[in-house]
Amino acid sequence: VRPAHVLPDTHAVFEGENPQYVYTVGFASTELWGDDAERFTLHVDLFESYLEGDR
Amino acid sequence: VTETRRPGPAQRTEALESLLVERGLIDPAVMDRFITTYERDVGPLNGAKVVAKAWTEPGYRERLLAEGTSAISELGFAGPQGEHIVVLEQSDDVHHVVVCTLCSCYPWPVLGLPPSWYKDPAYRARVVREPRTVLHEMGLDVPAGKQIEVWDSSSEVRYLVLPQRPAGTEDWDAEALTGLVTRDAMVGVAVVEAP
Repeated sequence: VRPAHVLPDTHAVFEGENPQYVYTVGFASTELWGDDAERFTLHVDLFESYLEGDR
Repeated sequence: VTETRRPGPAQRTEALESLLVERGLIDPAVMDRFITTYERDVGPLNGAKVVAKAWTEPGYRERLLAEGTSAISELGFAGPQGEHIVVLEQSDDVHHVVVCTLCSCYPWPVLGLPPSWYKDPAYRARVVREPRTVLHEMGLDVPAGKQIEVWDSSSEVRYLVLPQRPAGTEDWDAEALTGLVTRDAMVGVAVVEAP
């Protein structure tokens, strides 16, 4: 978990700063690119509103 | 519009700049100050000092890994594009490499301005798809057993890689070590080698 940041999606279009927590999420390369992918982990910083609850 | 008729980034930037100046939105003197500061005074030497200090002072290394931004500011390095710096430590098992897939986010206070390959769409697209191949093309062969971790600077967080201290430098002091640390090693596309 990272500190809260201003959400650029709304800030850039003048809809407010909308600060949110940012989460660094690691994805397995095979989950993104399929079984043939090189084996590695890709970490992406995602704003809270990009995430959805476990279903 | 065909690709050949589109003006290049330099031309588009120039057009944008003159519009912003014309409308009084930016002061060209302020922009020039920024450019000379980051071209002349701030560069990868700052990051190299941080790395050498971490190699020679275990307590500093711990602080750096726990809270990058504040540990880096102990050396007086802070400013735009460095408000939230996270330090990634290379090890025998893990190799970290940093990218900004969206643009060219980069930790300015410790590395200066990004090199052109870092901004290249090919690097940005391919290092998140086939990092081992890209690193090999850039002259770095990551051992097969080593896990590769790619970090996309997709928020305000900026990443700095803490390379492994090369063998044979046990007697070196921080100042000598600083001279070994390269910009590319602090992005994770190279390792630091003893001469």
